[in-house]
Amino acid sequence: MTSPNPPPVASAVGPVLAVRNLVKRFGKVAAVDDVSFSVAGGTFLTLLGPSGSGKTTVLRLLGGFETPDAGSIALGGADIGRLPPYKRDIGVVFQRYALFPHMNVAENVGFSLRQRGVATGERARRITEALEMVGLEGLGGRAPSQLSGGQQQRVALARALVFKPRILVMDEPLAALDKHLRERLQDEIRALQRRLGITTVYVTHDQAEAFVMSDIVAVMNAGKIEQIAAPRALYEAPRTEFVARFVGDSNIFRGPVNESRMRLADGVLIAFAGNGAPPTALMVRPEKIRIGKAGHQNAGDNLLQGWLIDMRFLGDACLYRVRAGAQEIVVRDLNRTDSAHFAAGDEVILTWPAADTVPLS
Amino acid sequence: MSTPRGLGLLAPALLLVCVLFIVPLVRLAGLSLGETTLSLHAYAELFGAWSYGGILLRTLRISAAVVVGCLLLGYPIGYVLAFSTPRRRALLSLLVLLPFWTSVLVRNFAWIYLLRDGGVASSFAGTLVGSDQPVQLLYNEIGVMIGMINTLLPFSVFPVFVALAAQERTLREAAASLGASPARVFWTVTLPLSRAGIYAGALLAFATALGFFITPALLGGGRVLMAATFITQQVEEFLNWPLAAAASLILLAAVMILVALYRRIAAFNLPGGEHAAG
Amino acid sequence: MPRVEHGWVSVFFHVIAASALMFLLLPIAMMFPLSLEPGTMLRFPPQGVSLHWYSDYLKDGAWIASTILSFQVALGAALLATVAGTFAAVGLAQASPFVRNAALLILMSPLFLPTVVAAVAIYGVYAALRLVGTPLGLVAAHAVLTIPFVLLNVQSALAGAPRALDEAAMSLGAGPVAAFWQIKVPLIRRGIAAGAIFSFLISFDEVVIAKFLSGTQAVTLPKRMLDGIFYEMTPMLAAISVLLVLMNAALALLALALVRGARKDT
Repeated sequence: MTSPNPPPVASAVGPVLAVRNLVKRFGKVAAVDDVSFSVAGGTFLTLLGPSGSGKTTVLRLLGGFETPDAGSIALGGADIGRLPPYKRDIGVVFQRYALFPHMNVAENVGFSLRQRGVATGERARRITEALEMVGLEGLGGRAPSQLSGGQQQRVALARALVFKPRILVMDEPLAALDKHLRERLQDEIRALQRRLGITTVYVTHDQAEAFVMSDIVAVMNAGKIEQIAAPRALYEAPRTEFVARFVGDSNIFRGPVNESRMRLADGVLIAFAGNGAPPTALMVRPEKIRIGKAGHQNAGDNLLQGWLIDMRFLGDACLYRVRAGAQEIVVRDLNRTDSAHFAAGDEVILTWPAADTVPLS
Repeated sequence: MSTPRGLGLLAPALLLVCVLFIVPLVRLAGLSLGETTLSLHAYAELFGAWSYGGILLRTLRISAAVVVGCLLLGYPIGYVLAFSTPRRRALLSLLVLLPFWTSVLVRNFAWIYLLRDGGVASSFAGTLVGSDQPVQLLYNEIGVMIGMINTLLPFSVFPVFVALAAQERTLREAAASLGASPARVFWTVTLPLSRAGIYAGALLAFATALGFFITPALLGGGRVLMAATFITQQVEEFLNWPLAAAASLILLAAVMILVALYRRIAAFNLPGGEHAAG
Repeated sequence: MPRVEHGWVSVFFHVIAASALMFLLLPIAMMFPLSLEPGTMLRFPPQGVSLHWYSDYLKDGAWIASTILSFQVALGAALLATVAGTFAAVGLAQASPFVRNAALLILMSPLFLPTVVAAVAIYGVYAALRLVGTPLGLVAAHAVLTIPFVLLNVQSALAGAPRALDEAAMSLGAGPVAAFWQIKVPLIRRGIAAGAIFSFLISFDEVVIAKFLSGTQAVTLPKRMLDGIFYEMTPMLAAISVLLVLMNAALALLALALVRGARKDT
């Protein structure tokens, strides 16, 4: 599977990393089940999925900590699938940083250079450079345990980048940090990645994090890649119900399809912009639906009548649950000055264009 | 990696233990089935010898008494450890561990002096039982039991301590809030919940007691014959290897069963592991 | 003050526990006054204060030879057990559950099974191999006996050196050997040292196996003490006991401090 949208940066270089038909079984369970993707030079790709979806196993296969049962991993055209980790030239940032507790920050960062026999003077220069790059200048003498979580995270990043690896892989590197710090580091890592132009594979279960940071997102489920696309494409045009539900909120409809309409259980017809195989389900995002008073005219290819079950005020928006025939539909209405207010029990109509109804397979 | 992971690193230790421990044990098992022809003769002879000399019963009786003594003294120590401040707990643990890490010979030597006829202990015991004659404490089962309890006491302390320390304080508070008096809280909540520790401590002490050799030999003065002493005699004095081997295997089987039971109950280790006692 | 949570039961237990501790420590404490006896008979209280039994011990060729042999055997056994046990503990952490359980069962068996049975079994094999009475035979037998203690200590130290650190080292270019020496060993060195000390202590004090394997050639200190207790109870035994108590207490305290330090590190 390659991405339908070309990545915005450095696509001319061609794929730096190409994974083909990768399989990894633990006992009878296929943790990674025929996974293929490629990453163009300089691209930030995120593997997004719930826990147990196989994303971390893919990363461990890339790092060389697991041996694949089948398939290949090509880095710069050469198959590295069976090379030991220390011959792969891949920078890894681990889930809980995995900083060496018996070494100070500078020794941690310089570890890879020592393994490569880099001379002392050159090593010191590059350690200083790497620490400056992540904003930790002057902290080389500290023990990892004397640093905050965010600082440890930056040391891990500097350590993984200092030897100029061909790609960088990161396994949920921000999971242990609080929300505020996490958001700041998302921006920092993203900025650093762009500045260095380093091809990056990132693993997270956090959809917002994946969207903020990535050029391309691969959604994983049960060992397979469900869809691989740029964040906007993934959100606007999810291909499967799993992706639709995992990425953002969604209303899902089911029923027999006739041309470009689906007939729901209560007879209501839902229009969609379809071309291709008949979908198994339809999806519309809550914020695509307009809510209005009954009798009030609203434009839209789809029009449903119903009544409000309840309303939740979120501050920037209101979340309405509407009962329309046999369906329960969630609507997100932005809190504008001219937004109408509704209360539970109100009769409402819901409208949205057919183009916003996404066919799923 | 064609060989299973970690096997290369395990090889030296496995080789050592197999060559010097497992193989000799297997060879011993072979010997117990006859030196030249396959027979159960040694086991029949063992049955006769053990019941004749009362060795089996004595070994079980002494070991059981030792376990009871260990629990009576060990439970209170475990209790005090569990309900102490961390500082005091550390100090008391050291006091329990110090004898644990003292040679069994040093302690037996001391007991021979302390328990000797006409010594303070035997006169005091005489007064206790209301006789003006000193009571003999050495070179009989009482002396052996005292020495064995002294050695095995730590084995019953730490399992009890672990079981008590793991208990939620809220359980006791709940019992108290429901109207139980402090002593009643102990009998109805704390003690029943520490049963696993008691069983584990008892099994550990019993399994070790069955194989005791040095203490019965020194404090029993050759008059208290237990299983291990019997095995040694057969090897050193009578050169009856099949009989010694059969006795060893019976002892081994008994201990293995007890250890298996122990491992089902307890999943912990003493600090630094258990001292192989003799 | 003890927290009296169980009323009179608690008070009662404190009294019993104090008596039990006395019972545990009394025989050890007795050694100190007994060793100061100037005469040839053990007496309490001693007739005077003299250190001559200590100097007699230090001047006695046979006792000193046994002491030196015990040090040699214990150092050899500790070295062998520590190297084999440390590798084994690291190997156990990498092994599949099946291999791990099987290996643990084998390696821990000397800890649980009666020493007298082990002694008889090894004696049988050694007699055939003419290893009875050789220091090397004692070293090997004691190493087997003490491997479980090294395993336990190194295993608990390994909890402070998670696999992710090895993986990190390897991703940074360190081969398995470099990762072992530069990452694993520095992180578990306290556990290794504690295991080595316990291993030394056990071998140094071990008497059951020594009784069988010492023969007439390789009489260790505990074997000579055992004979002494059987045949001639002199205050010299008390003097040697005091020295043993002090050495064991110092080493055990050192090992416990190492274990505690290792826990604090992680």
